[in-house]
Amino acid sequence: MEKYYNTQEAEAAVLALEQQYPALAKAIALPKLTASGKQSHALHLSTDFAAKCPVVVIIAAVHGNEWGGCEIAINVAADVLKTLSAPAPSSLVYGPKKFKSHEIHGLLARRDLVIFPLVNPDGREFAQTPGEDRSWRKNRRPPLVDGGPVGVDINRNFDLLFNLAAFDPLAPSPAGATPQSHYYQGPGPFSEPETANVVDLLNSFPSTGWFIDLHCTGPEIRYAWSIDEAGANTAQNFMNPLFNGQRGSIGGYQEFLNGTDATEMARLAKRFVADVAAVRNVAYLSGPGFVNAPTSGTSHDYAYSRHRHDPRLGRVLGFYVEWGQISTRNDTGPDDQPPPAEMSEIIKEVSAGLIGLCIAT
Amino acid sequence: MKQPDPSSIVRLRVTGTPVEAMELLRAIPVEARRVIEREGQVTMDIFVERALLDKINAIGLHIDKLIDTRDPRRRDLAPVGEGNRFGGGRFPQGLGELEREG
Repeated sequence: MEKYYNTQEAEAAVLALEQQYPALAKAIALPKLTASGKQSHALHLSTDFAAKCPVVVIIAAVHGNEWGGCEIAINVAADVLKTLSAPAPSSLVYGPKKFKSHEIHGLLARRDLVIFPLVNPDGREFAQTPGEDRSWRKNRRPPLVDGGPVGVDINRNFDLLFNLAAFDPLAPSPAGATPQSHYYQGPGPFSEPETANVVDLLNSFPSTGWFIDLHCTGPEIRYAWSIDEAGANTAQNFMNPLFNGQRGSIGGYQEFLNGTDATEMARLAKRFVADVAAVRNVAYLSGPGFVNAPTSGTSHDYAYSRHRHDPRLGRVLGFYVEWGQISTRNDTGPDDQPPPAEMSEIIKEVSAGLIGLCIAT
Repeated sequence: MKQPDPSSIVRLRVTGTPVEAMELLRAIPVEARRVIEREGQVTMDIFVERALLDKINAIGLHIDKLIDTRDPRRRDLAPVGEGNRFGGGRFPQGLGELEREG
């Protein structure tokens, strides 16, 4: 990769993959247009679209300043498709790490992949505009008043504990309550079209069992919960207002987490870590998201919370990946976009991790 | 003329005592990264709105480094493609390599 994708070609990439592999890939037009009027697409990978296999959903570029996640999502889709389409059985190789042909074919025989590479095109477009803010994280929701602050942090806009009074006021702040904030949660849950598109994707694929959101201040893979430490007391859960004002601190309240789910998320995260490390020996951390401080309204916690909130919905194990090595990048003073040569290596190792995780489901 | 965005973001590396660091995390929602504790001092990287710099100073944290991500020289570090590399029948190839088995 020599240059990052602009928003036009990120969308074009999804449609081009559908056109190149029509039997294996279908583009999905998401229903909500962004503030600037952009249409977003996801890509559904399947070897049997009628079978409705359990689905792994991967989303990326929720934040405007996290460019490379989009490239990871598009390239991992391209790699899976070209392996499935190879004229003779071929392994998919990332440096020393190989996935045998039967592993990739076996994965798609059991699972569908739904990949949404660019959730927040407006934010990305702004961050990629010369002279604008490359650290722009939010979408481009227009200000309420002329000259006012723009945008909402999509990864604080889901409806899980949107009411910040649910958290201990002495705990680290889980989201921005005002539009000026870099982490502004928005005027209401699901207020943003980008958020609604992710929700629509989960609703459209009720057989989704796994959800992975790609971000970029790694190296780590985390999983539910991020609202608080996990615990075994079923009464301590995000729906119980008796515990408002107690969440988000270390100790005390613990968010109920089914033990089987906790074990499974830890197992899959370890598989991701192992396959990432197999490419060039970069050590990713794994564990619950709460270790990075409490956050509300995030996509991975929302995905996992859905079946607790509505028992008719299937259980979705929720993960997020923070790719890359921010400590390395800091030493050379850049922002969230590694130079393309390094980003290419990150794409390979994270692709290996994602494929390994999917195979292990 | 375009109005300056009051929520423009700067990237900071800040250092202070653990108490000061916690005060910042309570006062401002931030994702603190690369947190290092050494000799009773905490150093961490954060993104904040430029308008909050005074608040950080008032807490007592020392700003070690401030990166203006609007600096045009940064664009050269991570160039963005122009046009559309996936038009006219071109499609993403992926970065993995295929190795024929057998």
